[in-house]
Amino acid sequence: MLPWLGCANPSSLHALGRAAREAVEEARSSIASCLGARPEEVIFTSGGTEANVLALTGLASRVVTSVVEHPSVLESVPGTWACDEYGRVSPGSFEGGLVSLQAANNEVGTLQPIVPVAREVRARGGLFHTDAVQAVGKIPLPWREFDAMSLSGHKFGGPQGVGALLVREGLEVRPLLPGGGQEDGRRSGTLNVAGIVGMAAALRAYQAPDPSLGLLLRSRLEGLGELTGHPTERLPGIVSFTFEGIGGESLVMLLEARGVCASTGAACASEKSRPSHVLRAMGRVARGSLRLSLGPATTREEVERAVDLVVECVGELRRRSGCTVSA
Amino acid sequence: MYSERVMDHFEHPRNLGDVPEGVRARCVNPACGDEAELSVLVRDGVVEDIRFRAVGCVAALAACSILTEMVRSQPVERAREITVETVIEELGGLPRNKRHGAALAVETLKKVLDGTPA
Repeated sequence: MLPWLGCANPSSLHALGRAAREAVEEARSSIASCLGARPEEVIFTSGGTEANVLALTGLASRVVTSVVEHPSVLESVPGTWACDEYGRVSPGSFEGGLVSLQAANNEVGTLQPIVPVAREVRARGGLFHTDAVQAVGKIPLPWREFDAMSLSGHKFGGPQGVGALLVREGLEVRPLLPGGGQEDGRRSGTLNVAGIVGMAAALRAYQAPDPSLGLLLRSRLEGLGELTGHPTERLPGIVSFTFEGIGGESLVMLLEARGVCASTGAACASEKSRPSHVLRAMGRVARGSLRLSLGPATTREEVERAVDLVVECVGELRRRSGCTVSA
Repeated sequence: MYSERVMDHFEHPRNLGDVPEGVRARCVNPACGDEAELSVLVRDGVVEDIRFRAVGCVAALAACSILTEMVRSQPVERAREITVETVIEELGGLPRNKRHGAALAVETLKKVLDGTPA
């Protein structure tokens, strides 16, 4: 990335601009190749949020989506397709237009049935978009089955602030950002060359986390709390539990003090005070929930240590609540 | 996000537990599921012993802890005067969206003092 920070504008005609343009097109071909798409099908964006909003507003006037999508989807289109207790979506009513269904849920890791749903939607003359931000590099994504797909660089080890929307060749997309006409008029704005180059390199190099570590984490915590998300149809690197007798972000804060960074879907998570819409849709109380994400560099020792700390912190918080569930 | 005082009370809660011969009261914040329970022993109009248990966010746990310190050995009338603002001030401040933790602690205090014999 470094040589491309502050480089010339890839839209310029001079030699430096052409060099930047070449780097962008090389990155575009690389990303397309990794995903089984054609380079012309890749539109660079500022990240997954912009890719999702571009798809939802630019491909069709009628859009249907599920209740467990990322906020970048749900803020544009209210979700109507419901999910089961594992967060797995069942197709609801569809009367033409676009269906948007995530490939995998970011909070609980549940995989959605995107291929059968895409086939059904397209057989009925509709278009299918998937928010694959959590899934790229981790599960197979047969691009030919879809009409549009969102991805985000930082989710597979690339830089933040860059992503892409793949759009099937020949499909028109109304731009979100009109302006100088970059990306064939589909997304104006000077390209983030360094980010794009970084994203392509990250995707080429990305190796999914070792699935046996996720299984280890699960098996060690299963007696202490309840796993959320589908037991088998799930991303290997996301493990999410609820623990009786504790709540809020207290577990996350206690773990952070001991060197483990985790997240929660609880009401008091981050700076919002709203409970997780995903856990609520699954019929789960969001209190006492913990999500641990494994990366490609996570070691077995780190997992073992994290387990010991989770057990210790859950026990401590249960002591404070007077909860008699045994650790 | 949290002051040093809040984190101290969260990581090292004071007066955790139960007063076996005390009066008990429990409150819940339905919005986020925070729960607080106080048990109090009052003798001759003075809070002789007070302990707490709580489930929920850092603010709720810390507020309960500091509240028990503020109230212990105080006359009941003085304890009744404690407000959400005084608890937040004692804690060195709370983020806007975490003030409900202090509110839960004070609500539980009022409830348990109302239940103690005069």
